Amino acid sequence: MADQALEEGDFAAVDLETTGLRPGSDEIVAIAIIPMKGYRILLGSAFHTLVKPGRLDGKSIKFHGICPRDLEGAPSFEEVSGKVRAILEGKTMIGYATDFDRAFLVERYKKLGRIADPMPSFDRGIDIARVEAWLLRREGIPVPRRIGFEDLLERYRLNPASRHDALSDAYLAASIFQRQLKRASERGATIQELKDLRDPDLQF
Amino acid sequence: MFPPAEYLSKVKPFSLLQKGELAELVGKMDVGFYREGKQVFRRGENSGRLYFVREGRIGLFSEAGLEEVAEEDELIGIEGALGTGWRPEYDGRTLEDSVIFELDSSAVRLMAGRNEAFRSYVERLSSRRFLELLGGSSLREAEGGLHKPVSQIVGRSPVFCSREERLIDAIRLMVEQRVGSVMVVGPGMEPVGIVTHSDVLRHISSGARILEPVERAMSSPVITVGSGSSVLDAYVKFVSNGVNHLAVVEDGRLAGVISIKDLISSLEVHTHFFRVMKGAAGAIAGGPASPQRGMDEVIKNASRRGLDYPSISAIVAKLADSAAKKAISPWFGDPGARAAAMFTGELGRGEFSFPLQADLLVVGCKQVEGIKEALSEAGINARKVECCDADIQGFLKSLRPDRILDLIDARYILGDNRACLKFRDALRELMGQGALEGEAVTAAGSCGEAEVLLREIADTVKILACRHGDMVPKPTWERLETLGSQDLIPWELSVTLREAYIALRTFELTGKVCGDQGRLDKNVNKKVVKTAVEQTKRLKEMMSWG
Repeated sequence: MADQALEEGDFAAVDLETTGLRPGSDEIVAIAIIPMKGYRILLGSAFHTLVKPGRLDGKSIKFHGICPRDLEGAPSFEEVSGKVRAILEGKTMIGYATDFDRAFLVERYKKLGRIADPMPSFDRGIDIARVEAWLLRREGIPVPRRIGFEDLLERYRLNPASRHDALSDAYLAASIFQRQLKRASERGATIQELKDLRDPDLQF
Repeated sequence: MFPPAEYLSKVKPFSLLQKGELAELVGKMDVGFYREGKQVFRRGENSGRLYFVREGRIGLFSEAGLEEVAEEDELIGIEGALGTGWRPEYDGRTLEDSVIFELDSSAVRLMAGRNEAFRSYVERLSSRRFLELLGGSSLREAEGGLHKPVSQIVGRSPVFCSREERLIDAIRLMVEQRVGSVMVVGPGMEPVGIVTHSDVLRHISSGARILEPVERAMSSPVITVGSGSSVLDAYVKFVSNGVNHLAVVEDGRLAGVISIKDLISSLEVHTHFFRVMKGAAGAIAGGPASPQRGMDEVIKNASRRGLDYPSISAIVAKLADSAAKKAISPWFGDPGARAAAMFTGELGRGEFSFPLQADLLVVGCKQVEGIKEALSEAGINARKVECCDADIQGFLKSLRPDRILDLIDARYILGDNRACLKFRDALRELMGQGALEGEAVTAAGSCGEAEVLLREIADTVKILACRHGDMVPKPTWERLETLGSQDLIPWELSVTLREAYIALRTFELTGKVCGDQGRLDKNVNKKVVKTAVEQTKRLKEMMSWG
């Protein structure tokens, strides 16, 4: 998939809500994945679900707003793991702080691997903040030390009334990436090049 | 809410969908980002999609080139929601980088099948019944408010109980059904009493118990009104009996309940009418500061209150006539002078532009000095004051055909009426000699500015009416109606163009009054302009056939 032309690439905008910041011990409470084919966001193939974690403490609720009652009847990660893997198969993950989301997914699958399901090999994703830094650098514009999600929304004039819902954030990340795709392809970038972007100075 | 759904929930027709329906629709759509010059859809190819321009612009191209531009918040292919066979008439290419919401036509059709308001809007948009979409109300409707039957303002089914039930049961009904009163009925469903909040409080405060039969607490007899009675009859009963509720009966049986609140809300349009007329009265009197502003305020108020363009026109024409009569009467006091004043152009045919402007023709008198200023003081900005002395024929022959066209709408205001009749006879004679023969309206032939298009329609219709011998000054929509009813043009053409003309006029006025074109429904506006252009072309073709 990395050798596809950038404008024809198969991507998947991913956003997770988690109980904390440690992939090893914290858990996923919501997953949203929206596939993209090049510039096109395929809402009809989007997947969004709440995920019932082993435990949910009060600390994270203030960030994701998901309460224990919301999770009553929600599937476990194990129950949705097949669907998640199928939808991500053959696609390049994109999103904001994708390393974080990827680490959580890998950790979940590792745990499942010991139980039932073989762990899928998640490739590196494309981080929209890193893409923005790369574009700015190419355009000779000073790169800020921190490029937040809000900064990107403002830069691309995307003004949602509500945020911090996995599906909305995944959609907004996809919308940002749509616009970045144009600039990146004009500068001859490849999918692999965008996946390999690293910036030790860029803080999230 | 999901961002695309959140956005669409504020735009018609999607704002008419329920939250769940919109979520379902959005869940089946794609969001495309198209670079400038990219093809979005091809002419004649049914893509099974509707295209909503979220950002940017789509150019609609025929073989001849760019025909139309769809801008932000516009929808292309709404016809696809009504049938499966819709195919784009044009190639759609982006004129700049654009974000397009691509909706699944079959999902939109499904919603149209489920949601009556949505379907009705889409159907009306497609069937060109623009006036209903604009939601304007006419004075005729407003006047009819008091005369419509009571059955039309009865909302929900009546909440009632039998006289043997306990008071507590009636209280529970009030709470569960969220009503302020419960009707008490006899065995034949005849209303025998009513229990209201205040009845309950009065009963309990007197030491009575809530387990007693409801008939001990109810007010009786209850005042009734027949379902076929008028709203005015109901109003009289409310006032003369000093009650807040009436039982609506059919053959003596309870059919509904109306409250004084129901009555007031049914007269909302009527209230607008009174307010507009009140403003109009102020303008006639002429405020001390600026009568022009007073007149403009009347127009603004009427427009903001949702009256349609013909209704506002009727008010404005009456006001302008009255103000002009008062202002210029000193020039026409001498009956022996055989002079008269006439409004020409738009105000002649009873239409108006905003801010109000007038063209005046004075027949049989050379002395017009000071008339312009007098009109201005009365709140009418006179753009042109012309003078035609006793030699009417000489005056008319010196004019260009387009000026003659303008004078057909000369309408008497004040002075010696015989001078006007003489003028009209001379004009008719000149027309009989073929003054407008070969005269073609050469204004916009495409989607130009609305103002140009409006003038083009008005002139075309006027020429056609004159060719059929109708030289009476009247509004364009009335001319179209006459032409259609006399089978001089196809009835369907007269109705469609009449609708489009009034809608365009209303759009133009709302835009000017509110100073914010953005709040107008772009989908409707675009559709109206397109229809008006098409139908005007048809009309012109008919003219060329003679």
